[in-house]
Formats: sequence, structure tokens, C-alpha cells
Amino acid sequence: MQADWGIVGLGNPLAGDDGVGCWLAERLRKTFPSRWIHDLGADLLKIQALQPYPKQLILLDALRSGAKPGSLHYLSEEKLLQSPTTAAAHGFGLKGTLGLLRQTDDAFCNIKREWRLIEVEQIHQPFVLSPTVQAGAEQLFKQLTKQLQ
Amino acid sequence: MSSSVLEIPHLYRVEGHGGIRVTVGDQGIEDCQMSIFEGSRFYEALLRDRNYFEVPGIVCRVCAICSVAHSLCSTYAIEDALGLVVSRPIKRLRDLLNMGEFIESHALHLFCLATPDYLGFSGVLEMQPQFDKEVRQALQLKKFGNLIQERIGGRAIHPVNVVIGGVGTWPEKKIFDELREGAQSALAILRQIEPLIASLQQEDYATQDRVYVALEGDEDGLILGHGDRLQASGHEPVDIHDYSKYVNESVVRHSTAKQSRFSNRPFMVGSLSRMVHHSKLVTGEAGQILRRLMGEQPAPNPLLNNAGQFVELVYCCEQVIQMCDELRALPTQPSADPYHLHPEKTVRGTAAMEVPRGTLFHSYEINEEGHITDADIITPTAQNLAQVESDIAKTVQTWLDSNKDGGDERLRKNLEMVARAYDPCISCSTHLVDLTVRAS
Repeated sequence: MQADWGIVGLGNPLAGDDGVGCWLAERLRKTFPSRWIHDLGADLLKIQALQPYPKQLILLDALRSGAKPGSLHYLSEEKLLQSPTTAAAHGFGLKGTLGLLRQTDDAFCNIKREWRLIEVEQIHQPFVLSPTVQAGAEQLFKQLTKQLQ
Repeated sequence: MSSSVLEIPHLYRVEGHGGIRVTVGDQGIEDCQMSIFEGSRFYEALLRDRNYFEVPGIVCRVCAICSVAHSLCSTYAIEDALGLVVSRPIKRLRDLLNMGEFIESHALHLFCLATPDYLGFSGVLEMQPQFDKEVRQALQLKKFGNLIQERIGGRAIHPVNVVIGGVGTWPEKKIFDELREGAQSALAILRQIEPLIASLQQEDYATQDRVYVALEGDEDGLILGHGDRLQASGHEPVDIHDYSKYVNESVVRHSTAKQSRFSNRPFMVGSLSRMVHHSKLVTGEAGQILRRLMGEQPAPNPLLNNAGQFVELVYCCEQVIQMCDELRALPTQPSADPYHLHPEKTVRGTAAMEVPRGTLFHSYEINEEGHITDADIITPTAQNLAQVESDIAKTVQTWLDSNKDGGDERLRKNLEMVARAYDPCISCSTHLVDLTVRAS
């Protein structure tokens, strides 16, 4: 049965703040164990193993844009695709992965997708979120908790 | 005297960040380097002082595409240190999980990263409109690999079901039925794709003799799993506990990844090495395809690593069917409790596994409090780097001998194809090609 809402966290907790998406997904999964919530690490393409997809999907990830660390970004996917970012899973990067999913996966194209990203401070300390990023993540957690209730 | 520097500062369609730099003088090639400039991650230091049972859950985060490999190999190494030998059903369940990662990783690399080069596309997104069916089939294969990992590993990524001494939860019988059916569908897709793979022209500009290294097959003849002895061309088999005497790691100035040599010679691990060492163990449909694509004795051409990956995709699907039949037929659910006891004294354990890119080593020292006091991880990509540099030099020499046939563009493409054929996973080993030619 298709869920109304779903959340995926992206990133790598071994790379400090880069893991904030995973941190949020894990915390939300524990709070709402019956909901469609997954930590996909650094490989968005693995979402294909999690079908049926929800009708609406929130994707959580880290971002480095020069803004204040911990600040929240609500980017459209089109805007995200225009950004120069490439670093990610197995040679595709986020843009390449999104491109492949949009070109080959009709079910993925039918999901209403929202991106919520948190500005990172450091990507060197494994399993540690910077205080500013932790504060931003807590704020986003509260927002998402309200949305899911 | 003048020299030219051929530089490929960023190699695309590989995992991580790397580049190629070749210096050519009046007398020929003066220097040849494959650089890794992905930041050092110091995984081994990160593991020190952690409880041993935390290790599989940490190392699986090293890389999204190799998470099962690191999780399983670390588990076997810790079990080796603790003197634990798991039962056959548990080992077979872990082998099944490993097949899932092979299928996912090879399907992604072979069809989405390597094949576009052969067909003259800059990437899979450009290839997809003309080869829509094949790209969708490749993604179906990858999805099946993910499904195995999700069903057996407990999650589609970063498995949680691999625990020291056993498995977390034993799957229900219907899971084995589902995976068996999936493997049959995957085999049907592979039969349809074989003509495309057979049509890919494997040029021989990098062909040269090499040392091939792979683990011996296990007691069932499985060539893609956990092993006790290393086979290297021209050498007697080596116990994996002696790996550090043979697989010599050294730091090189131009790279953040260490390089490895086998008895001081560059060497190759991965699909081609496994096909060379184990062609007789590859039977069934995979064996027939091996002989159709690579002959009785594969040529020492690194590009054939791609063909080897195709053979292994078929091999893995056949193995999944066998493993599911065996595991489903078990009369009772095996005991698979996790182990949490501490050793009485400081102990050391080592394990080696064949994983998609080659042989992976994990070695750990554990003290009487159950804490990791020393860790060593040697990835296949790090082992291959010296051989990649040698093959890059051979590719440049072939180009020079042909009076630079095709110019810089031809050389750039050939260098990229050689490096990519190794399916380097640079995230694990600590990208690859914009070509510029400038006078130094």
C-alpha cells in the first residue's frame, strides 16, 4: 500500500555534518516507526529497492553554500539541479542520480518531492554534528514531527 | 630537452576524487601517476577504543556501494580474533548477502559507468535515450542486488543484520522463494544483454603481463566470498594471516591513498584476476559465457575486467538460486545468537574476502576489555593503484608508438577507460579525466 508521506535521509555520518540527513531520518524513524522513513546513506539510487514509493517525499541532506552553518534551505529540485554540486555516490553525484531516476523511473517521477537541506560546518569529525548544525537539525526535527503527526 | 605533461585532473564516472598525470620527454615516458586527492579519512584510527561489536556498523559507512563488504569482512576478522567459527548456514546466509552487493555494484559499474565509453557516449544519461531498454534492465539488476541486501541485511544500505557470531534475525522461508524468483528474472535479463556485452570492442592498448591475485575458492568452490589463502601468479598460495608480508603497502607523495605491491611487484585484483585463477570453478551458464567472452585463458588486458564483471553477474545469480534452495531446505532455524564476550588476553584476527573490486583485508587487535587497539583495512582499489599506473604508462607508450594516432582526445579516452575498468572505489581507498597538455 502506498504511504501518503515518506522521508529519506542522505549523507555519510563518518563525514561529520554531512551525516545530518541520516541523523534526522534515524531519529524520525524511531519516533514514527510505522512510517515510510529511510536512511539511504550516500546513495539515493538505492531508493529503487524501497518501492512502492510514498505519494509525497521529503529528502533531507546536507549542503554547503556559504550560508550560516545550521541554516535550513528549502530548495526546489530544479534549483538543486542547477547547482554545481557533484560529489556523491559511485560516480554519479546527486545530480546524475536524480537525472537517471527522472529519465528511467516513472514511479519516482510521480512522487511530489521536497528537499530540505542543512548548511554544514565541518565534514571531518565522524559521528559528530557541529553545535550549530545540531541546532538546525533539532529545529527541522520539530517541524517534521508536526507535519507527520 | 623538452617534455610534455599530460594531465587528467579529474576522472569522471568513478567513485571518489582522483586524477592522472603523465610526463613525456624526448626519451619517452618520464613519470606516470594516478593521484587520489580525496581527503584521508583515517578509518583505522576512528575504530581504536571502540567495542569490537560496534565495528561492522561503523565500517559499513565507509562507502555506500561497498557497505556489505566492509561489514562482512570486519565481522569475519573479529570472529577470527575471538576464535569463533560460524556454522555453515550462517556462512551461506552471509554469502547470499555478499551476492547482493556484487549484483548491485557490477550492474551499476558495467552498464552505467563503463559501457557508455564503448558506445561513444559521455555518460549513461546520454546513452539512455538510445539504449533505454538496456539502461532500465541494468537498473532492474541493481534493484535486485539491493533487494537481496534489504531482505538479508535488514536494510537496503548499511546492513544491520550482520553481527559478531551470527546474524541478527534469520529470514523467513518466503524470503528465499522471493530471492530465488528474482535471480531467475535477473538471469533472463542477463541473457538478453549478453549480445551487447559481446559486441563491445576490447582494444589491447594496455595489454601486458601482470601478477593476478585472488583468494582461493571456499570448500564449496565459491570464488566470491570469504577465503583463507591467497593465490598470486607465479607464487605458492599464501595464508591470509601473512598478508602484510606479501601485500606491501607504502605511502606515495602524489596520493592520499597508499599503494600496494605483491612481493614488490604491482598486481591486479578483481574480476579479471578471479577469472584467470578460477576459470575451472566457474561452471554452469556463467562458465559458458566466460569462455564465449574471454576464451579459455583471458588475455592480460585490464579492459577485460568489464567482461569478467558480466560473467560474475551471471555467476552470482546462479549462486543465489543454489543458496536459496539450500537455506530454504533447512529443517530448523539455525541458532544465530550474537557474541558479546571479551577475550581473556589481547588477540588479533584477520579476514580476507572477495568483494566486487577485488580482495579486501580487515585485521583487528582486541584487548581484554573488548576494545579495538589496532586496525588495518586494505581495500582492492588501493591494491590496484600501482598496476593502474603501470597500465596507464603502457597505454601512453602504445599511443606514442602509433605516432600519437587520434591525438590527445584518443589518449584521454583510452586512459579513462583503463582507469575505469578497474572500477576504482576511491571513497574506500582513503575521480578521474579532463586532459590538458602543456609544456613543463
